[in-house]
Amino acid sequence: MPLIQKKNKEKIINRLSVLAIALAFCFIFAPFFRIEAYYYQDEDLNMRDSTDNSIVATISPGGGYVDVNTGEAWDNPDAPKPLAETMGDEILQGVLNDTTDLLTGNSTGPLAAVYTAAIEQDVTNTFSTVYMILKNVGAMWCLGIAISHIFTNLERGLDPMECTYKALTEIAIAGIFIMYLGKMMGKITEIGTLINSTIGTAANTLSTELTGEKLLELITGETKGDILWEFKAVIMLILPWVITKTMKILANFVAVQILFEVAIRKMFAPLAVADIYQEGMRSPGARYFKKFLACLLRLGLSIFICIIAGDVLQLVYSLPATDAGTFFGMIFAVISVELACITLMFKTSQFANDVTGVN
Amino acid sequence: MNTTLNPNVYKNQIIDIQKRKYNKEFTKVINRITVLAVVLTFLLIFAPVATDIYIHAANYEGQYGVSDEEALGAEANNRALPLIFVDGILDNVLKPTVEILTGKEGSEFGAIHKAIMELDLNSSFSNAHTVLKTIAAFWVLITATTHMIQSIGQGQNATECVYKFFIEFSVTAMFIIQAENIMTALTQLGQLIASAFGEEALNYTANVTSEEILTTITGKDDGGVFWFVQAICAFFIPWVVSVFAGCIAKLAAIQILLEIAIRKMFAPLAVADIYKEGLRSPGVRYMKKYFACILRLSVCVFICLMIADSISAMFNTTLESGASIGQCFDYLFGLLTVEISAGLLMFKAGEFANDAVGV
Repeated sequence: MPLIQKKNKEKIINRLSVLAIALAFCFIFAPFFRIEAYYYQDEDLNMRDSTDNSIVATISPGGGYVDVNTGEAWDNPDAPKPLAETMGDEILQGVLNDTTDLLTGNSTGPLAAVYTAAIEQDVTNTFSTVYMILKNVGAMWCLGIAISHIFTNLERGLDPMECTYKALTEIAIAGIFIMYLGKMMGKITEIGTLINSTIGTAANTLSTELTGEKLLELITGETKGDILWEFKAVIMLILPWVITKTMKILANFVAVQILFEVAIRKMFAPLAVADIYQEGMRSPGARYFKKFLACLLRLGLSIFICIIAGDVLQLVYSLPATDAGTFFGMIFAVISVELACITLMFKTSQFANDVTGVN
Repeated sequence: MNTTLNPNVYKNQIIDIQKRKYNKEFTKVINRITVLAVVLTFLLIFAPVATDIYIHAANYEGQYGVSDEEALGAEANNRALPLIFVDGILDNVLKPTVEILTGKEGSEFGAIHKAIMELDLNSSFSNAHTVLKTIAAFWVLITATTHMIQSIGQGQNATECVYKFFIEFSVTAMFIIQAENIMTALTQLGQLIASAFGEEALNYTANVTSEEILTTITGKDDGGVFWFVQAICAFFIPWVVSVFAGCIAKLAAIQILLEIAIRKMFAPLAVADIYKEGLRSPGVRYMKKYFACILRLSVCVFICLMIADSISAMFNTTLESGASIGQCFDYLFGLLTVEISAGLLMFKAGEFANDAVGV
């Protein structure tokens, strides 16, 4: 057989192998392609919104579905959105609104639980047994420091009575701090969340005329099609979608870390304030309070960054997208802004520490 | 005679080329058959697993001291591999990490904790420890003598200087001799706090079972080979990520334990100058740092506790009220985000502990 023919045969075999693998992949994941459906059927066959489980359409006696809000019949409620359309929607939606919601406690997604666990619930109450142990260790530490100061002062030749008075004052002040620490940290948290929610009110929801459907029309010329069309659309959108998802994960990492840090600092405060009497505002205890406030401010700063970036994105979205080229240009501009915003969020501790004056 | 024109030689060359070509083709065929054989072996190995998983579960139970006969009869033996994947996603970070951090009795990870924390420096490293103690005593002698000579040189009363020398020497020597006991006391205090946190974390039980998650995503919690392959594909990446997050957390935990052992070993040298500046002396700072290091265990267990609390809140309502597949995946990825963020945050635990102790 001539060499050229043989090579062609090999090429065909290789392509067929790739196709076979792709088909096997599709076969395995075919049931999961329904993931993109925004609505699902409940036990009573009503259609529910997967984000908040509310009923969006009820089954009518004559068959088919009726929209609960408009009363209009649905054409084909069982048909899920094409995967490419969902991907387009997610790319257009971006990550900033979700991150702002997560940081302000308005999120409805799974990570809302982290905000509830770290900020809304009082960890000192939830884990009160352990908190009491920490308070006792703090009190013991405070006592140790006070006694050590008595000896130091006596060695310096100070009056023993004066030394004792000083030590008692020290114990009393540090003791008050330790006793009312939970309330104090609670008030600082309230101040921090007030600042954050006030900043959060300035957040605007990104609005664009572009939807996943229009986007598909722009890049493929159609809004729906067969499996080959869907593959083509998915492949076109896969890169920006993966980048968007990765950024979302990164933004969530930052947000979860900040929220956890707030809870950790709140919990271990009794040990820190034991030596607050020693050097007043310069003491490690006072520094700890400032760092706690700085940690709360990180939330506010991150929200602020998201809002500014959101305004920039709004400008980008107002540009006309007439074809696939301009659309992809717009999308990569959006991704650049979002990426810059997330990397800046990693640096918020530096800004917050500068604001509160701790290093 | 021109050999290139010899038809026999030419024929031999052609035969050689053909032989080489055939060899190449033969190697290709063998390679493809090998790949096919590997795939078939894989399927053959996992096909029985799809219907009746027992190997993995039996080994898992065996690690915890259950005899093979008991393990083979246990209900857990019939768990399908996808279920074991989901179990892992829920538990890979939390339980092993808490076991390492608190040294839970009877667990393999707890044994790591015990091996490091119960290290007896006097028996295991008696020579090195004695050398360190001797150097420290020598160093104290030199410093105290220098102070005495300096004081006498400054015109202070010689007898008073000698008294001071003896006090300095005896106080520091006491710290050097008792360094290990002091460190052990600090360790026990730290472990008390860590185990109080750990108890709450280990008592945590997810509000949702692995079967519920599996059923929501794949439609059932058991099935044939195709269901099995699909379920494995669906949970493989989350499972790998959870294993990765678990490794990060374990790495952080083992680092802390090793740091504790190192600090304990070199404590005699550090406390040599404890007399000089009292609470501000490098010796006291060293002890505070040591306590901060032990406190890191508690901070890490608290982070695990926050993971458990967040997971609990995350699955609290949604799955019970019937979640869609997409929602369930969202929750799984939310869970993984929390686990990885927490794992990374454990590397920052030192910062929180240092702030709390004031070093």
